[in-house]
Amino acid sequence: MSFLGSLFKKSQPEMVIGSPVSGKCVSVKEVNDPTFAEEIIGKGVAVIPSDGRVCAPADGEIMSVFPTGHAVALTTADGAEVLIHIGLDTVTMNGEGFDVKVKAGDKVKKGDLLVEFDLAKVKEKGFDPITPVLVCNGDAFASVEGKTGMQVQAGDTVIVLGK
Amino acid sequence: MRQFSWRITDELGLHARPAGMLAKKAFELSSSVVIQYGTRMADAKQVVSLIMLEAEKDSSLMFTVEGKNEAEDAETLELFIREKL
Repeated sequence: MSFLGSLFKKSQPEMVIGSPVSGKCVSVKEVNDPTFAEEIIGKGVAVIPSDGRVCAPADGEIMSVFPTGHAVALTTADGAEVLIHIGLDTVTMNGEGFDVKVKAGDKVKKGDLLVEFDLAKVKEKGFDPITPVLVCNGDAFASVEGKTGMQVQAGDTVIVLGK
Repeated sequence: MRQFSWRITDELGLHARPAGMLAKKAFELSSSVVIQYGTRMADAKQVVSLIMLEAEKDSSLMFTVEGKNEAEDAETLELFIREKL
């Protein structure tokens, strides 16, 4: 984190990450792709989306938006590196149906729209729209706890980070 | 210090799956592994930094392996990449 970033960092009783999208939050182990299920990329949860609005899960800065728009990485104000991966194998859709609203370097507030995607099209093309939300630098925190098995609205807490 | 280069063969570039596999393998090594792609650099053990390279098919990545076990680690990693990615 930059000097300015740490200067303006707000102290919070606990560090939480909200769901980027409304839907059903499940364990990442239920994702039908070993890259995610085996937590190769990071620990977290997965959301079965009920709509196509993907929002910032916390205040932070966009690190990267994959050119195809199906994956966004951001650093939260608490220093968590979060990867949001919209759907499985959606990289092969090559951006079709993905409308990206942000770019690397953008500062975002929790709830800001990051990507709007066409959920019906993802399903129609035969892709699983399940959206893993992963903390890629989980080692930087004492614990990464997912809150799963429930319906969520975008912004509802789905991951709690321990100091 | 050991170096080798590798050209991405995956149609989709270095997306989440290959990046995840590469980071997992690199993490097992005691050496540091830095990847250079044009002017961008990534720590091979950090999956987000790999995805952030946004490296596309046919682009060339330069791997720099450093540490006590660098000779063995570079060989292990290069073999893994050529066989699995």
